[in-house]
Amino acid sequence: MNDIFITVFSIPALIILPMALAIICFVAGKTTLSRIISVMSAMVLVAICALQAGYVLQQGAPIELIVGGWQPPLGIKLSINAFSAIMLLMTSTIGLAITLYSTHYFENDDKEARFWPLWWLLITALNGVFISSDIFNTYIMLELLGLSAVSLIAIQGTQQALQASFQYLLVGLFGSLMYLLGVAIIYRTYGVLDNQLLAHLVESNLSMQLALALITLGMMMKCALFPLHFWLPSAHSNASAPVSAMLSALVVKAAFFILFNFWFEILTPVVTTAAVTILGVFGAMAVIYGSFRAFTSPRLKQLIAYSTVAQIGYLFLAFPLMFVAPDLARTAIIYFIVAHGCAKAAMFLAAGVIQKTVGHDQLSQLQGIAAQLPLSIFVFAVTSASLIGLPPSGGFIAKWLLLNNAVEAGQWWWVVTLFVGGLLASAYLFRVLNLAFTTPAQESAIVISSVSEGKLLGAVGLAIITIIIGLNAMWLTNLITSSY
Amino acid sequence: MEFTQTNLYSLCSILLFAIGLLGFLLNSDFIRKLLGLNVIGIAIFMLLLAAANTYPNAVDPIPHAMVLTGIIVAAAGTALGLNLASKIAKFARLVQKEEAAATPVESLLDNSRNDLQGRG
Repeated sequence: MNDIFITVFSIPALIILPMALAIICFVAGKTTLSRIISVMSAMVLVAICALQAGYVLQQGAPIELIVGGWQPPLGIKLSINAFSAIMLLMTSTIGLAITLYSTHYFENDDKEARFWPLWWLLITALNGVFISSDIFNTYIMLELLGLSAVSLIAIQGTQQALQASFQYLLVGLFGSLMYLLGVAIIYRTYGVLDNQLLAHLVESNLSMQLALALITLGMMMKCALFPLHFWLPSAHSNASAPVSAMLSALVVKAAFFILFNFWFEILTPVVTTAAVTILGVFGAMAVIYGSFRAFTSPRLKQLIAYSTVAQIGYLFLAFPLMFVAPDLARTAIIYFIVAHGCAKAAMFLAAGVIQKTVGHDQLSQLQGIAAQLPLSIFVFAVTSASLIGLPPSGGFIAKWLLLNNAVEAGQWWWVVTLFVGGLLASAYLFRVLNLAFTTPAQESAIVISSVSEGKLLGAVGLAIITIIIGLNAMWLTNLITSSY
Repeated sequence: MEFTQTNLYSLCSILLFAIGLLGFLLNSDFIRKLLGLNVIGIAIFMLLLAAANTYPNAVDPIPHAMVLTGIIVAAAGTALGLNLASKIAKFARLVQKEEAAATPVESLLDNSRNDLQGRG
């Protein structure tokens, strides 16, 4: 009975449930109703994803659904493997935390009424990206993701937010058009769209190299890898706090997920050592540049956004190692995505509380904030530990796995990047913590009228998760590695 | 290379792609950038349509379905982009008016300053 639920009904539920919610929230337009059904459904989604993840990781085999009984190449297949099961579980967990936060975040009813439908469309698109096993279906979900993310930034309504969202829209549309061009070339060459059928057919030739290059360019733009990161800091720092959290934690990871699948699942024969090394170098540059810019940012949310640029770089550091020890490198990537996702979401939520109570997020005027907002700074400090990679956090395990791989592969230069990146991360994060604990001069003391940190419940949960995945690392890494 | 209909369509799509790409990259105007993206989109659709003509007596329907879906997505994206562009233009006009007026309205100025400081 349980098996039938997981294999037959749970996959469509991942798309249908959030999409139905988006429609209900849009039609109802009432914030109280939207809040109640959103929180309940977010919990249901977490339960479904947990069941799926448990099933997939135990069985070691993906669950698949052929939509309408039409077999590929004509029909569309949906499938959940170990990687996507973990991504789905992470999406629903972070989604629940942010949903809880958002029920108390907005003061403006009008803004909140616009937020909920778009929010659920974003979750629909994220789930869709992770479960689709068809390169064109992925394109549709990617566009849905881009459009809902742009609209979510734009509901903030300030001039900066509108300009950032327009830039994001241009980048997103261009990126997905490059992806579509890659798909068109693949379809012309082989006449199939299904991931698995394609993986069997692909050979290394000029047109496939072109297709991979185009798809990589598009996805690099969408996940803001170093030379193409220019849109991320303004987009992520000008959105409202729940939106920034979701964009930094999950939306960039969806693009990375697609990129990773193309490189190491679908178009594997095309990938060469030179190509992975180039991406690794981009990653290393992202780590250094992003951390440096984070250190010099004048605003708290901008600092966190640049930190995302740096952390995306780490994910690409694992690309060259995929050629040496694929299983370990894959586990490291999954670990890194989960650790960074939880930590960054919680950090943006804490920053949102600080920004809301103080009225701005200029770092120079945040002295002594720890006395007024202890819970926010606690969340910030715990998640900082994970981003820096201090034990016993999840970030530490992820970096340790990467470091181990790099040393075993004899590619010591990645180790240097890891160390420098960790040092820079501690520099820019301690800069914030240092300010937060400084006793302010009498005249510049911050006066806060009302302090409400209750909405940080979800963020505290996420911060605790980053520690738990660090403490249970042995069990989790074995589980993930053995499920391939 | 034989000069077939498929090749003619592919050649045209490459030309269109180049035009669209130049338009997108070289213009700084919002609407021209959106138009450039649309031209790129049409070029890709044309490439897909050319791929439909693979069998001698039949047409492959899948690329047509893909192009139909793609057109809808492109229309949605363009609509959102135009809406955002008009909102941004409104803000720009507001700022111009303020600069033109000798005594700027205090509250509006305050608002724009708040935005610069990143108030939520």
